[in-house]
Amino acid sequence: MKTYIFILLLVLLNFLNSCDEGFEPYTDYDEKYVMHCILRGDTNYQTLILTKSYFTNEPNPINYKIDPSVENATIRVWYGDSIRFFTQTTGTRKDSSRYGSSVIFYENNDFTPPVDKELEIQIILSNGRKLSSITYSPSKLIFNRWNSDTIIPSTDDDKITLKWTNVKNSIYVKSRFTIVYSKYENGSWQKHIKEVPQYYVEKNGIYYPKYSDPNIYGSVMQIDMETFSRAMSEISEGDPNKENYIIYSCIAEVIAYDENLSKYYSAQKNSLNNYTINLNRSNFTNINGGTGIFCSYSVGYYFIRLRHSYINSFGYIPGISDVKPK
Amino acid sequence: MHLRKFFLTFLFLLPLLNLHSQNIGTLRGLVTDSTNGEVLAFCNVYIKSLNTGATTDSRGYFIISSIPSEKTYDVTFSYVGYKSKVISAYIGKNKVTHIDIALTPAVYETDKIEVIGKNEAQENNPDIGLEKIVMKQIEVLPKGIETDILKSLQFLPGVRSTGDISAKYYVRGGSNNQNLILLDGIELYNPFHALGLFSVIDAEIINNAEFYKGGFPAEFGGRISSVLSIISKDGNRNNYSAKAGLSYLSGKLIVEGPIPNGSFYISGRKSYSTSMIKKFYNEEKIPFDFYDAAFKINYSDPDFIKGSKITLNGFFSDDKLINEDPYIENFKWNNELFGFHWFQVGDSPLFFDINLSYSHFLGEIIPNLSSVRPLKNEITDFSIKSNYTYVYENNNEIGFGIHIKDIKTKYISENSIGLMTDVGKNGTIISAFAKYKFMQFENLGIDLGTRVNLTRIVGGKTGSNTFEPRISMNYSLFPGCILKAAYGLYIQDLTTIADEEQIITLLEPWIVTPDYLQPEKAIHYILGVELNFFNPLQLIVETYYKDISNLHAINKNKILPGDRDLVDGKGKSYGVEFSLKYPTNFINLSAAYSLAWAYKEVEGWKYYPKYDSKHTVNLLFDINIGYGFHMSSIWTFSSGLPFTQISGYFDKFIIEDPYFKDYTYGTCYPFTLFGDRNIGRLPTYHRLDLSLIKKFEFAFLKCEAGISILNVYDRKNIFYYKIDTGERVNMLPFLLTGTLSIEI
Repeated sequence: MKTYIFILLLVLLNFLNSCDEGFEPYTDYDEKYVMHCILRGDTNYQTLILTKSYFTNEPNPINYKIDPSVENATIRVWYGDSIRFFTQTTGTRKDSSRYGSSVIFYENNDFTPPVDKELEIQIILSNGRKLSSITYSPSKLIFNRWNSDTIIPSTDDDKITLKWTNVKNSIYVKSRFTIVYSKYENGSWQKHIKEVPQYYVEKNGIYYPKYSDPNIYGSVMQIDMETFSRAMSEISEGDPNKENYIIYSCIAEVIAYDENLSKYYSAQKNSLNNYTINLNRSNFTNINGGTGIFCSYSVGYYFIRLRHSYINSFGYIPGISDVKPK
Repeated sequence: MHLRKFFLTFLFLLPLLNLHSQNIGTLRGLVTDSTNGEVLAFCNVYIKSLNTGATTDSRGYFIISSIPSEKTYDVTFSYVGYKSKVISAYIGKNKVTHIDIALTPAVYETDKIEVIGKNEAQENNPDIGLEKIVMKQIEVLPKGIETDILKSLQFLPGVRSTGDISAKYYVRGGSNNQNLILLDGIELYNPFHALGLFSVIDAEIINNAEFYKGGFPAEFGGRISSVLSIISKDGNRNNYSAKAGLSYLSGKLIVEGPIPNGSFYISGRKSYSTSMIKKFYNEEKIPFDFYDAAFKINYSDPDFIKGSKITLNGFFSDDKLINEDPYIENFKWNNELFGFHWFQVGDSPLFFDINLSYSHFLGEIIPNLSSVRPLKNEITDFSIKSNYTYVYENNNEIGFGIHIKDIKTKYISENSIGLMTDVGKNGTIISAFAKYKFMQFENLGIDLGTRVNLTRIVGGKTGSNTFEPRISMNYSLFPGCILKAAYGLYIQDLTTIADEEQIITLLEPWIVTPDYLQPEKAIHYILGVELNFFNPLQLIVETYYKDISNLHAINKNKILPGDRDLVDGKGKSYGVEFSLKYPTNFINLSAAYSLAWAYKEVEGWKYYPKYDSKHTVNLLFDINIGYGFHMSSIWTFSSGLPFTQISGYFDKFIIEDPYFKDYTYGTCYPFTLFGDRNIGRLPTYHRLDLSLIKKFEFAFLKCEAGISILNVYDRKNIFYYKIDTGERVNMLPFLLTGTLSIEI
């Protein structure tokens, strides 16, 4: 018995002595160039961020303070026979706690991406390395006015409905209703926007708004009048002077992501969960020669009037006519 | 195909070997605990004058055939923790003599030490890869929070976990979802409470368990790595009793007692505090709430059906993770099990059992106002199993049975067009098994069988997966030296959508293997030797090789909700395990070492799975000090687990505003770039746990108080690195826990 225990202890000691406590969480640094460019369909001002990866053995990479921006790159976007160049510029960073006060980025202020087109980006870095990517801008949204509400409240039902077409199956769409109003404050009328949530959830007497997430194959947006009315009430919540509010209209905004932006968003959403501990994260990139994203989106707006009687019921003042001009 | 035909023909001609008759008889019986009537599984029954014997099965039954008849024999019954008993039994000619024996627990302070010949009884019974677990053995081990059967498996050679936090276990290189867990023969689909921290089955309700690490016989199917078959207690047949227990986490109560011709128990356990859970989850507050409850009624009336035992049992567990904040998702999952079991022994050496069971699992992610994708998974399993065993006069056995499993699954998730759809499947699996056990030679035992899958519910080419041949054998080379071997083919129709990279996960949905994949298949090859030279010292060495094809792995390229969840792969594992045991009534010593390799290959890329550890050592020592004190210690060592090293970071744009109004200026956050998958190794893991238990009586109450010290020398074992901050997270620190139970 003693022999067995002795042999066992020897084996154990051998293992403990051979244990290498030197632990290396890092492997060889792999330098990558990173490009983020989301072409916006609602403006002619486009921006692009170009950075490179970095290595730090700080416990938390957020403590890495050296700006990884890449300067002096040649950037151009092709669509059909046309070409647009991005030029380097700087701007004031909102949060300067990490990288300092200015941000280096690239811009073009004369480019609204055309709908339903192939867009190709080419980047030549100052060291000669190249990045490239292709994306296809979404088609123009077409609102179905026959099946959409034009005035709130509708006479048909207690819902507000907006329908549109011309959206591909595999792309994400984000939609929202907003109420445009003015509030009299500090001696003048100030313009505001109130976003109407998709619905409210009541818990312990408190109403929590749920705003819609981008979702695939969205071709309709619909909310209850009860939800809309609660949002109307919230505009002046706690303010007894309801006459200080002028309500103009409701505007629906629908954003259609292109396929690459849809995948980028979906990959990000795959990671969301407060309790699962995952040692990896899904990442989507469509950048040749690096990582990041090149994509676009298009935007459509739809105007809906509000009945004066409905606005008045809250004590507010109607801002525009509730009769459609002939 | 020709080989299979030959195998089947051979199997069905085997009974012809027994067409002879002699002047012999059979001894059969049931062994129980004299204090409460609970059956004693794995008890040794030995007829010294014939140098033959048997071991009771998990139901407490034993059977010894081919005993020269018309004589009286002294039969010895011995069991660790009980006084041995010798009784005289007369064996009639061509008859089955039935005896019921009650053993009395040893009182250690006064009884002399009995060194029991554990393996004298049945050296030829094929048992490679099998660990027999008696709850009394694990009740004295140090407790993380409470005694836990699944946690205790991790001390066995060949069984790995990925950390202190999880009771999930990986057997000989197989995945967690390849382990079959049966509670009284009913399949339990989600056996974990609280993010996998511990098992839903309260140790108080368990009588015994059999754990097959591989090479399991033909009566088990549906999983390709291991089988854990847990048998719950019957309930006290002699007296009514109630036992209440308290730990830092939960309170529990079990009531049991006799009923006419039977007994019952009913138990419940409920969480009341999550303060201890915080210690396990890096001080994160997680609003868990759970309960589990079980009952069992058994009835055996000789005037109703002689030799029968009818059992009705139920088990429920329910977990909730409900947040006050409506912008954080909630989780729910629960199990419901019901079973009806009829076990019958007759005047002939035939016994059979029929099981009707219902098992239901529901898991749900409720997003509330968060952006988390909703998910609902449900599996409903109605099963009928009937197994028959006939023991021939020459000790050989034939066994056969049919298993019918009606499965309904629901997997409701977001589809390719963003709608919630159910891609679950319904169907019936009908399978049969037949086996023949050669036991007629003293030094040779062979268990030869096959499982036949008559109907399947999976897609793909299932025709090639009809037969699952299995063979297991013991050969006693010379006294005290048993050679063992096993081979088996195993097929698994159900799978889970589980990401191995998720080391803590709330819900791993069960689905039928999708049409685009083949069911997982494994072949086990096992060789071993058992040495019993210095009674009761026992050394077991086993080597294994496991080849897994059609291995299901998470699709790392899944981006859109409609993309496939799983992809095809393959796996391979092999190793050698040493197990040294010295069990007595006073001291129990065991040492286990395993040397193992495991690989997976998915989409052409080979890597070490997350739970691959080359060297593992477990040392266990427990001692009955006397005066009601019991002390135990466990030291665990394992070489570093694989992990993926960091190769750098980049600032990644995170979509916080879906309208992209101002994305240039500050929505980029560090994102980790990883190196080659699982090429790095974490530092070695080791930990020492101690436990001290005191049993005492207070007035009319029987009390048991226990304290456990986990990680005595406060080893900083790495659990993982946070991928977003790079922060190191350690496993359990030094921790003191306590339990108290009171029995009336």
